[in-house]
Amino acid sequence: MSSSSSSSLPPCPKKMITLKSSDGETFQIEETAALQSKTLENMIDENCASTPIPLRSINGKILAKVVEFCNKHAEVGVDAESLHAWDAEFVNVEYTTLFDYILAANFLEIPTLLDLASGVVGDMIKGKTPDEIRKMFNINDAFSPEEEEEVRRANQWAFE
Amino acid sequence: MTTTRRAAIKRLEPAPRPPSRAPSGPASSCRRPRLPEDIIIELLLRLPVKSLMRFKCVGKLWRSLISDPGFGKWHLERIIKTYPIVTIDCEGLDKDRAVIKFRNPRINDLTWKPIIVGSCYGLVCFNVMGGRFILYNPTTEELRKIPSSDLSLEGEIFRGFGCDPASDDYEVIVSEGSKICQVEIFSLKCGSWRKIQVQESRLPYEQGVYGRGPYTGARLTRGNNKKETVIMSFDLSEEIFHQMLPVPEWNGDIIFQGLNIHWDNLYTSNAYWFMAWIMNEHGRGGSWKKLFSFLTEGLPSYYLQIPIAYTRKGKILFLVDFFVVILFNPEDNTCKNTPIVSTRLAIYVEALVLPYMACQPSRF
Repeated sequence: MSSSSSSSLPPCPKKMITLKSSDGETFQIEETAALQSKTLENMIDENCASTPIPLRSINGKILAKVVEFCNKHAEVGVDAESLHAWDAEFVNVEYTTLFDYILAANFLEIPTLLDLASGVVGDMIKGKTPDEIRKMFNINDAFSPEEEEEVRRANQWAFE
Repeated sequence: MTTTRRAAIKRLEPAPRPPSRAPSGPASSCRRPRLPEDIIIELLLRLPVKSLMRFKCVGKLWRSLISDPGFGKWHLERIIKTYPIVTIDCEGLDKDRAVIKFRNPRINDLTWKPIIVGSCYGLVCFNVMGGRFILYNPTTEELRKIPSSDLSLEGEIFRGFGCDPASDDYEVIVSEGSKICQVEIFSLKCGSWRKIQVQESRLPYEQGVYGRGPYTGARLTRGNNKKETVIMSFDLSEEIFHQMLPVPEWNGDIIFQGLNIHWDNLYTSNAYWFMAWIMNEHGRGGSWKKLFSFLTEGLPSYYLQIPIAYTRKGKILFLVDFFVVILFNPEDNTCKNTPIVSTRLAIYVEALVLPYMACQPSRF
């Protein structure tokens, strides 16, 4: 569907759409780059993208990075190796920022960004203790010490 | 399965959903966003089993997410897709310490669905979709792609991988024997396939195993009874098939479960009343010796029980129920679950050998 809408407008290759963050910042993004987001693609297909699109769950700082990511991944002629290096640098941030990327990528449905950020968080947390995980993820439904001991005993090999 | 899960996460509504926390304002380092359940699942799916078992302690939600059978299936699917190769330290099994590594040879091929052809002196050979082969050294993680052979790999195909000590060369053998018997050999030294002439009117099929000695690539062809079962061997140096290995002597019905190689020995086994025989001098007039024999009472009553390896201490790794691997101790008839999930396995030795020859640049 998207291909038909873009091919019907050949003289206007740089069609821009505007995104508005939760704190009121606006960002211009080329339609071709925006198509990496399934959420935005649907809006473009339904002709809902002519006015600024409000993204009330994504703040300006994060939205700027998301736009940067989409632009980079829409660039033509980037070889896989240098894109890989660029991605590695892009996700070289605090885990709280990675969580924000994940939330934004999930909301906007950008599978490449979701996969990239989730992969880094996965690598980050796989060696952590349950206690460290609770702090990181702000979890407060922990077991009582007795219950925890029971779960721990049942999965003893995982703690060795 | 994946589609359902993705569909659950998918939000078609362009309107933003209510934020779980901190509805507005720029992100600050002290804010710790709480992630919704579907995202937590996405993250958990990327973790190794050991981390997941440990994270059952994190809290009630995490435990229930990790313990969910649906989650287990997604996790397995993801692992198989992302890390098609798993290796395990067999020595570690005797010490109750299974050292497992998930490996992704990164061949950048979406159609890559590896079938293990065989393992020989540090290299493992895979057959991938489209009739191509891959040689992989799991120790050094180096790999080499081999071009397709001209044979159409349909019908009664035999695939074998071995090493010819005379020419110090690794070779892949494929044959197709349903209509006319055709055999092709790939030599790692030459880097190409060539046809060879054989006398046989019937060729073995499925996978061959590599054993020590001049005779390599033995294969058991399946039959309903002993008389129809023939073990053939292929001599890589002379490039001829031999039908010289007898099947073990046994009074009663036998359902052989294929041939295996372990610690340089060729062994085969029978289902139900489980028995395994070993032949350590095959090709030189050796005979079968009973390795172990026991009732499989201690094994979980799954549909399928295939022995895949045994440890030096006599414990046996069984593949049960298609992809679960358990460690069985015939001495006290007990079994333990292992964290291995796999459908095809091969034993390899850790070696520095490279999957290419000296004349080729090491670009792989």
